[in-house]
Amino acid sequence: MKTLDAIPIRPAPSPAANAPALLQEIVAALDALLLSGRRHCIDLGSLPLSPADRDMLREILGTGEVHMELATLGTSRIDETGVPGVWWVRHSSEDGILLTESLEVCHVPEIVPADTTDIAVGLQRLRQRIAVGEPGGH
Amino acid sequence: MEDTILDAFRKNGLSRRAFLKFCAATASLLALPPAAAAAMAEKLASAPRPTVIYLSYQECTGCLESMTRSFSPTIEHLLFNNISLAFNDTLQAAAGEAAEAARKEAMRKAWGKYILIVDGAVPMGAGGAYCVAAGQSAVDDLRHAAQGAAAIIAVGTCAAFGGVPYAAPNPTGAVPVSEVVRDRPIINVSGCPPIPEVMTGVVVYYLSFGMPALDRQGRPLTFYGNTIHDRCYRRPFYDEGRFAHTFDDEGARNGWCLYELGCKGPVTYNACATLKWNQGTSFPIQSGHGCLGCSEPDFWDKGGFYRPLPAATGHWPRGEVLGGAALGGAVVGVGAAALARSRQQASAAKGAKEVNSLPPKEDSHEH
Amino acid sequence: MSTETDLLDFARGPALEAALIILVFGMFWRLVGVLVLRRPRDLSEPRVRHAWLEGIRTIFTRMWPRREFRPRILHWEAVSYVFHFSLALVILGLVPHILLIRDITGLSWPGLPTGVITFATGVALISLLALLAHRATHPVLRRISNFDDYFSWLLVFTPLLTGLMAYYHLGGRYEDLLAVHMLSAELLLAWLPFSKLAHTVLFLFSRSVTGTIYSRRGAQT
Repeated sequence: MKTLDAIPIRPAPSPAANAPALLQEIVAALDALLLSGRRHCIDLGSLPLSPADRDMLREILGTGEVHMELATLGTSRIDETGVPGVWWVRHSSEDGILLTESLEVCHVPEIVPADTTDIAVGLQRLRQRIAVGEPGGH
Repeated sequence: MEDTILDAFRKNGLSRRAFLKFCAATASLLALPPAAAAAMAEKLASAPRPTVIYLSYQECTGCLESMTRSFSPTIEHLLFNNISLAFNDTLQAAAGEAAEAARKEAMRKAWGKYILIVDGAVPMGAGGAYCVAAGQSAVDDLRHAAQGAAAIIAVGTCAAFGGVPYAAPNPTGAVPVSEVVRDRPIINVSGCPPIPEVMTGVVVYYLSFGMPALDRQGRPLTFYGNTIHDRCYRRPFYDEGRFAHTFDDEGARNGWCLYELGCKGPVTYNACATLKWNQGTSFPIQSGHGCLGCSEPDFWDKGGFYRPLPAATGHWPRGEVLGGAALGGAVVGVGAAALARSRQQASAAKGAKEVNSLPPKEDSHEH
Repeated sequence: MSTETDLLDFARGPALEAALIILVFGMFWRLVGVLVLRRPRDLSEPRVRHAWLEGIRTIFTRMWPRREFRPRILHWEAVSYVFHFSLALVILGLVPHILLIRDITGLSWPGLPTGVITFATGVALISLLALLAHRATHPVLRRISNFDDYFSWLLVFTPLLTGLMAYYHLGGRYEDLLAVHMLSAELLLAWLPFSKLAHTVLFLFSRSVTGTIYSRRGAQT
C-alpha cells in the first residue's frame, strides 16, 4: 500500500502552446513548395519553444530516411523528418555550441548540394593530383 | 575583378557551405529572420571585399584582444581573415615606414569607401601631443582618416564614450571619436571590452545591410536594446528580495542577486546576459561579481563599483559634512532663538511699562 | 560630453548631497531654535513631582483620540495612521532605501519582500488621495488649509508614485524614472525642515511640552 510520501509529485508540464501554430506554418509552406517550388525557413532559436513544444514537433514530424553530418566550421546536423521536404538543421561551432537551429521546407537544404564554383575549384585540384600521381604507376 | 568575401573564404580553403553556415549563424546572432541570412549570403558573395582600416589610439588593446584572442578559430577570426583588413598595427607583420606606406596606399585606393574601425579615445590636451605615432597626432590622424571613410565603427567604451582616459580627472583631455568626427555615420560598439560576437556581428550587419538601428547613444539596438537586469538569470532573486550581502556569504554561494554588492545591471545596456562571454561560457554576474556598467559612459566615475545603485555617488565625507551642517543649523537656531528672546523681553518690558503708566483702578466695593 | 544618464548622475550626486545638507541644517535650526527659546516661568504650585515625565507620557497618550472625540475624528485618525504606517514601511523596508541609509549613516537592517512594499505603496497612495479629498471638501479644513498643506502633500505623494513607476519600469526609460523619483525625494527632504513636515521630529517635543505644562497644573492630558 502506498503512503502519501511514496506518491511521486510531477510538476505540471508547460503546455505545447506554440507547436500547433508552427505545424500549421509548415503545412502552408509545404503547400507553397508543391505549388511554386518556394522554399521556407523557420528559425527555431528565435521562437519561445517549451520542451513540450519540441517534443510535440519531434513526435508529429517524426524521423526520415536521410541523416547528414556537415563537417565544416564545426559539426552541423541535417536530418530529414518523417515528412519529406521538412528538414531539421542544427549548426554547431567547433566547441560544440549550438549556433542556430531551423526547420527548412524545401526539396533539399541549400547548404547540401555542391556549389558550382567549389566543383570547378575541386576539379582543378583533382587534375593536379592525377597529374602528380601518374609517373609513380597506376 | 575584385575579390568578394566568398572568394576570401574559398582562398582560405573553405567551401560555399562554410560560407552559408557562417551567414546562417550570424543572422541568428543578429536576431534577424532566416530570409536575412539568404540576403546576407547574396550580398557578401557579390559585393567586393571591403577595405577595413583599423586604427588604435588611446587604448589598452583589450578590444582587439577580445576580438582575436580565442582558444579556437571562431567566426570572428574568420571574418577578419576574410575581409580586407588593410591596416592594423597590432595584427600586421609589417612595421615602421613600410606599414605606414601600406596604410596610406590602402586608404587612397579605397578612399570614400573603406570602413574605419577605431578603438581608443583621442586626447586633445597639449594640441594632441599625448598620443603621437609616426609624427602624427591621434586627433589629426583620425580627422584625416575619417574623411575617406564610408562609416566609422567606434569599438570599445574608450572610442565610444571616452572610457578610461576620459575618467576623472582626464589629464590628457581625452574625448570619444564622436566628438572629433561629426560628419560621418558612427556606430558605437561600447563595452570594456565589447563582446567579440557583438563586434563582428555589427561589422557583418553593416556590410550586408548598411547602418543598423541605433539607440540614443549611437549603439546598435540589436545588442544594446536591453539592460543586463532585464535579461539576468538572477532576476527572480532580485524580485524576491534575496540578495548577497558580502562576497562569499550564504547568499553569494546560493547565487542570489548582487544588487547590494554594487551591480549596475539595471542601468547598463549590453548583451552580456544573453550572449555571454567566451562563446557563451559565463558573464560577470554568473561568476559572482556585479556588473560594472562597462558599456555605459563615465562608468568609472559613478561612485564606485561596489557602491550599490541607490547610494550617493559623491565622495564627500558623510560624517564631517553632515556634522558641519548640523552645527551650522544649531548656530543659526541659537541665533534665531536669541533674536526671538530679545524680542520677547522687549515686548514684556513694553507691556510692563504700559501697565505701570495706567491710572489706578477704581475700588469695585463702591458698587 | 552630455550623456543619457546626466539627470540620474545629478540626482545621485550633487542633488543628493545638497538635499541632505539642507535637511540636516534646517532640522537642527528649527529644533535648536525652538528648544533654546525662553518659556514663561510658571509661578503656580506644581501639582506633580516630575512634570516632564508626564510630558513623555503625553507623547503616547495622544497617539489615540480620547473617547469624547472619537465619534468625530476616529475615522480620519485611522486613515492617517494607515498612511503613516505604510509610508514608514515603504521608506524603511525597501532594500534600495536601506542601502542608501547605510551609505549615509552606516546603519542597516533586513529588508522586506518587494511584494509587501508594493502593496504598502498602493495603500499609502490611496490613503493620501482620500486625505486630500477630505481636506478639500471638509467645511473647516478647506478654509484653514494653506500652501504648505497642499505642497507638502504633493511632495510626499510624488516620490511614492514615481518610486512605483521606476521599480516596475512604467512610463519611460528606467534611468529617467529613477532620476525623477530620486529628485522628487530630494525635494521632499529639502522642504521638510521648513514646512509642516518637520512634525516628523518636532511632534515629540510639542506633545511633551504640552503634557509637561498641563500636568504641572494638574490637568489630565
